[in-house]
Amino acid sequence: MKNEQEIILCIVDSSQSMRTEIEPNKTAFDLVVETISQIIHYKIIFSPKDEFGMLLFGTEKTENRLQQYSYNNICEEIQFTTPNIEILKHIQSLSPSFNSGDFFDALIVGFSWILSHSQNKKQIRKKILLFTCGSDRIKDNGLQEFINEFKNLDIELIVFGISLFDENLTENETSLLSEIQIQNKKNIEEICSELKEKSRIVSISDIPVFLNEFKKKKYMIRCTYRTHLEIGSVSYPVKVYTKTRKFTKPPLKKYSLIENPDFIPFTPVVSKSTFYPLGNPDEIIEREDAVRAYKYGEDYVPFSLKEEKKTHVSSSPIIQIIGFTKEDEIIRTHAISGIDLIIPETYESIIAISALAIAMNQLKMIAIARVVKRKVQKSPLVCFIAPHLKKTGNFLIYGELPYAENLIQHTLPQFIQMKKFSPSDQQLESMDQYIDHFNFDLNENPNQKFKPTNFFNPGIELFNQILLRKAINPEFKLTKEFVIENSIHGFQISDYFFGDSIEKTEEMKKLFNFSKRNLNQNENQNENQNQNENQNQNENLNQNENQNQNLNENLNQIENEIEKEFDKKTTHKGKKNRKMFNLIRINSFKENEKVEQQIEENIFEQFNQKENLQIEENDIQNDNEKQESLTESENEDETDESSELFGKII
Amino acid sequence: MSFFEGFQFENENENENENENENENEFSLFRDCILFLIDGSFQMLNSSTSNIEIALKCFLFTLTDKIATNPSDMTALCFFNSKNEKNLNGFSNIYVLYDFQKPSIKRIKEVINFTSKNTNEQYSLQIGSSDDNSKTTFEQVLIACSTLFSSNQDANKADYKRIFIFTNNDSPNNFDNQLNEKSYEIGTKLMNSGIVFELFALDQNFQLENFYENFLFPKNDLNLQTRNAFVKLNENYVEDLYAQVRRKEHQIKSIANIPMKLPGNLEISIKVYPVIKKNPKKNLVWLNPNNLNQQLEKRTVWVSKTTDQIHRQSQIGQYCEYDGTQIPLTNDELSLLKYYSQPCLDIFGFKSKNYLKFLYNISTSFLVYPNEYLQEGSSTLLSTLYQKMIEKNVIAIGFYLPKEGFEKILIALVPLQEKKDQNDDLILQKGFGLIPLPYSDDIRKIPLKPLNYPNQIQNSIQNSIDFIQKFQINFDSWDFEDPALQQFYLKLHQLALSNHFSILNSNSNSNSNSNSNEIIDRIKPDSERIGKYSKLFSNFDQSINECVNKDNKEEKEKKKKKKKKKKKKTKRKEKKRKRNQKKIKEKKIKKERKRIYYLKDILPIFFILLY
Repeated sequence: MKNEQEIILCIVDSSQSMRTEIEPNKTAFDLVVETISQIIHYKIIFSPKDEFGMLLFGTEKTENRLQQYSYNNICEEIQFTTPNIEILKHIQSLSPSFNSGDFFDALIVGFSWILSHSQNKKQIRKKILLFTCGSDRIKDNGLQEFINEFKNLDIELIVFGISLFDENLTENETSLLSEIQIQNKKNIEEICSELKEKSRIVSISDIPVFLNEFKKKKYMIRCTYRTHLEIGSVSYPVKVYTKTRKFTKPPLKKYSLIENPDFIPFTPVVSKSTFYPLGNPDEIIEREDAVRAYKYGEDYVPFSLKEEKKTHVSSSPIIQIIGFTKEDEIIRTHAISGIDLIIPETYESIIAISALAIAMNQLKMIAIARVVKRKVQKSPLVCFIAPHLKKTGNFLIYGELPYAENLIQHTLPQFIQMKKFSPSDQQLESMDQYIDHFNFDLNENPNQKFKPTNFFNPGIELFNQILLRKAINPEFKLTKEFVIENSIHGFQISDYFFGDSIEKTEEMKKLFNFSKRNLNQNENQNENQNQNENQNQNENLNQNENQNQNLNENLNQIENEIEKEFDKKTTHKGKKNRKMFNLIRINSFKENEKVEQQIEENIFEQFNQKENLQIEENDIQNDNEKQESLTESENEDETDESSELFGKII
Repeated sequence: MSFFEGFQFENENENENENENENENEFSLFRDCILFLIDGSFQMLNSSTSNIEIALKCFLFTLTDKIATNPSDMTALCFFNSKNEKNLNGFSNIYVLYDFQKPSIKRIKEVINFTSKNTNEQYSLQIGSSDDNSKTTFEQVLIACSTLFSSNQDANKADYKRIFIFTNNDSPNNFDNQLNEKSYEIGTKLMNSGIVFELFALDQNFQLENFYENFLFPKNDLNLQTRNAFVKLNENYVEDLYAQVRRKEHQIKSIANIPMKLPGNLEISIKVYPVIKKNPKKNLVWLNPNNLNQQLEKRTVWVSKTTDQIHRQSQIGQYCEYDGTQIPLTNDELSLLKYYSQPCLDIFGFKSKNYLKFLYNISTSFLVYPNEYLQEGSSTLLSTLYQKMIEKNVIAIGFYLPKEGFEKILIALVPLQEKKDQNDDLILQKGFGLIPLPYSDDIRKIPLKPLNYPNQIQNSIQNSIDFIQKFQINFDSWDFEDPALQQFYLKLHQLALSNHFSILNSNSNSNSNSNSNEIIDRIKPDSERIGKYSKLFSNFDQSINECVNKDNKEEKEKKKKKKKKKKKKTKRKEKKRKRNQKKIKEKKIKKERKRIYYLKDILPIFFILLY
């Protein structure tokens, strides 16, 4: 159960041919440098104990262990070390030569180098990464002997054929590759097909996927605790491992900007907390002197930490099964924590757990258990235990469930049952097609299946990229463009899914009659309504209609302007809605469903109306003044005022 | 920060404080005001267990519950049909014992004193019951109640206004139709102003039809029918009351108000609500050691580690360690990081529901609700989506960003089916759940060696199926209370009420679990049931042992064979050794002999030479 150490040797083509541009302003060598620096970067962050070395071929100088056997133009650029910033910086300074290079010679040199380096090390994984565009002729005598020897050794060969393997040619098209390149391509393919599992070919477009392999943190795999799984009156010894936990970005530390800000290491800044009585900020009371208490009504009850610890439940670590229940009985949103894996420890528990897991899987049942992880724990946990059947064996997993105190009962009006929102047949049909159209299972890219294991946290990814840039170039300044460019890094929906969508959505938009409102517009509408009511009483309908028309026209113009500010204001709306919400309660007294439905619909309408109530009340006064003449300019003022009012209400 | 842990790049402490405050407001915003209206007539005193005592205990229970869970809620107590009078309106036979006030230790102690000894005597001394002739009309009682509410500003503004009526008289107006009509009129007025009536009948023969049916549940008004409630108090009245007091459900504010983007530029508006509150414990405060009634404020300052100089927020920079070197990040850069995308729920496709394994769980979930107010058509679309997703058994996958500066979460949008408990009460509404999925970074690889399984575990599988089927429970998270948290509240009551706690405890020990001295840990396995099915478990254990034994036998046989082979080998080796040794010995002997021969050969020659 140990994570193996890894040795990586990069063999890089630095011949003249690497100077060709693949993309505008980006040569093949640039691309190689970029990928290698990414690899080193991930090694620094995630597995700093691995080793890294680099061999260049096609160089002007010759500096290698086999140079007496006329292996020329090959240079051992970076000796094997653990990954660090200096290597990173060194790589940036490299540039291709004007020579030609023989990748087969380089492979033989690298091969002997990595073998001699790893001679005395046990349990170690060896990888050779070969970057080449293969445009120079190679001496391929002895190829078969080389392959035969390679087969017997535990080394993985990964070939990055730059612009060699990216062509998807149909029969009639002629290849852009030169004859030598085609010959080299054949050679590489021959080597790889002979080595089978020990080798891979990576094309340029596959590089981001390849890099994913390096992105995972290597944890020390240690069982979190040993315990017994108690089923009724029998129990079996087990070990528990962490399976899913939130991975966070590297922590930020604080330093002083006044004391030697340019001098590294920085002077650290620490937080220091003291207490002071309300109304007397000058008096300082140390934390040790302050009395710990809880609020009890209007009064305070002193409660020492010692006494609070007495309320904790203490028992030895154990997993006790309370009972079994159907899988559907567990509300999926009630799983509240990461998942742990239960692994049997003795031969008996292997049989017991696998029998239990298979039986639970057959019956579609889940166990509820009481879990104590540590000897002193605040409270025991209620957990579900689910089967986890794998090729390597049958295991159990468990996750935490909430207590009654943790649950929040929601009393939102049930919009799904309301007649007002029940969909028409046409809408249902179009939704049917829509879901099928965007279903991953039906249109999935067979090479890249949609799994959480293919997704990396974009936030952490972005942060790591910034660290890399800063490490290479301390003067690097973060720009908005860089953030936008890299925030999608490693994730593209088109990788997982293809198909055009425009037709479908246009149809849907028409069917569902969306009309996006924003708050200011809505206020104006309310004003309209209020005006209507007032003027109906005064029997001034004609004027009102004109005003309404004016208003609507103006609104369209204003709308665009307001939309820009729209996003800023949405956060405030939440607070407003909340105040209105408390007036709604759901019935606990039920007699028949129809009545229920009606009531809910009423409540919903009330709720929507009441949201505007406060604004209306405030606006009615203003309305009367503004009724008679509403010009465009005034209209704009009006919206401004209403937004001011809105601010006041909050 | 209890709901999600996101990036906090800037001013971490300030953010934390803000969030803490928000959490406090979350619940205190909705204030609940309960007026206990207790019938004080002779009939209430007559029965074997004094009804007045029961009503007062209910009041006490409400007080102790509120002080622990919702200290900002208010309660008041009023008797009608009493001998003495004390009210603002000047009506006779109405006695307001307590005005609206937040629960306090002082009031609880007073009520405990009232209920601890001879409640009836104390009642008749202090308040007394009215004569039968001079009964108050119910109309007057209601008016007195409304003035009680309106006299206190906070109570008047409260979000939930409730009147709990405790009585055993099912016709307060003595079947007088005129008076009844008047009462109905005022009753509906009060109800329309937002007051809810909840009637607790203390008589098992209580006839609702006599008066209260029309009062509480008028036929014309559907809304009122559902709001008011009627409960007949039984022996375990505290639990009934508990349910009723808790009926004020906490309406939680939405944590995000964001657009939801469906594939192909389809956009609607939604709100997101939390499902779980993680730290239900009350906030800790610090007190001045010199004056225990004075709360202290916390002040955190940033101090240089070397010189102890105090730093302002603008004088602090941040750095990150990378391969041992410190890489500074300016505040501008950190703030840029916050805005790498707009807050939204971005759905990009659908997947079969089988995809959502229990393994893919990482943190607490959320609820999604349409925001019809911001965008018309949102509810209809979500409702259609719900129907079709249930029908096709699919879930939606996407990214969720609640606020700017937070971490993007990979999520699954899951249609939730309605769920009811044993009493047919709704536990879960139809709606959408938002379940965070782990990223690849979050899933740890555990390299496992493949396990060796015996060939025949069919028997033990069958055995485990047997006990799984027998050992089933009706699971509902609402049944399990956190034993440590209960213990904590018990201790808190004990510390606050000191001597009075024991009285409170002995009073209500028989009736409720929440006040008894030891908390029942409900999540311990049921030992009785285990005893009942112990055979099934032992069968299971036996079958496993058999498997192990069988394997052991096989192994033993193998071992025996191996041993035999070994023995043979060792014998051969020994033989070889012996042979070798013999050979060596022979050689030695030969050599010695040779020497001797040699000597024998040489000696005569030597002698001859000598001669």
